[in-house]
Formats: sequence, C-alpha cells, structure tokens
Amino acid sequence: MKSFKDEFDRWGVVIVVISFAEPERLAPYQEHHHWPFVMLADPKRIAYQAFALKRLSWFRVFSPSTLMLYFRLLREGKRFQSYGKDDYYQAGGDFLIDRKGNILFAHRSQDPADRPPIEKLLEAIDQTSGSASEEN
Amino acid sequence: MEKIAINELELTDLQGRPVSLQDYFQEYSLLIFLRHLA
Repeated sequence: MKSFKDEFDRWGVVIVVISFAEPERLAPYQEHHHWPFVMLADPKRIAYQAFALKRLSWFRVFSPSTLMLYFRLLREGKRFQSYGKDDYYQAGGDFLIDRKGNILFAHRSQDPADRPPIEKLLEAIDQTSGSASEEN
Repeated sequence: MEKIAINELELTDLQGRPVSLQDYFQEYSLLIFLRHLA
C-alpha cells in the first residue's frame, strides 16, 4: 500500500487507517511502523458497525487462506508483535467514500486474509473520478 | 448507493482527541478498517 501512496495522492484520495484498538495502543504501533497514512481509533466500534463490519466465525478466522498468509509473512521474516489484547474475530474492510458519505467502493473481508487488490481500488477511483468529471 | 453519516462515527486521533472524518478529505477518502494489529 505504501508504494501506491503517490498514486492515491494524485487522485486526491486520503488514506485513513481505522482500528478498534484503544488510541494508547495505536500510538506505539504507529511509532514502530511509520505508516504514511492517517491513523484513527474507533474503540467503541461505532464506525465498524456503521460500515456493517461483522464478527467472523472461528472457521473464517482460521481459514486455509488466512493460515497461508501468516505462513508467508513468517517466511518473509515478519514476527508477531503484541500490542495488548487483540480481537481476531472482528472483520475488517476497505471503503472509498466521498465527502457526503457516499460509499463508492466497498469490500468487507470474509476472512483476515481477504483484502481487495490495489489495482481494484485504483480502478474504482478511476471510474469514480471519470463519472465526476462527466457530471461537471 | 450506500451512504453513512461520517460525522457520527466518534473517531479519535492517537492522542484520544475526538476527530471528524471530514478533516481527512481531499476529494475522496479510502478507509481501511484493520482486522487486528499485526
């Protein structure tokens, strides 16, 4: 995602990462990772609920694709870092929205490894920008 | 098209201060909801 940030900037898209973790847990996380994105906390999970992000079943959390992802990350030298108690059952998601709150693209993860390809996100932005230009 | 009330999400910054998503827009915003911290 970091490598595509310029592309998102070019389209006027601000990337905002939201976590259900408490802000005091997120601060050291951000200090460690130095993500070039805005990072916000939603400890009450109001935003998670507003975007209809549900809790996953045990079967989804430990699906073969999730286990393969963790195996690949371990092979790449990534190591688990504890930032306190985690909730592995909370689903995540990716949403492109405009200023009015219209959801222009939505991807609700079916398991922890389920993320939309960057190309699909860029394609959605391209289509959205195209239709906005036609309206003007 | 789905729509959400972006000023009612009760988000905070990393210092725990309430923020509005409206402050983080140019044209669009890509929201990435994390599964867990990893």
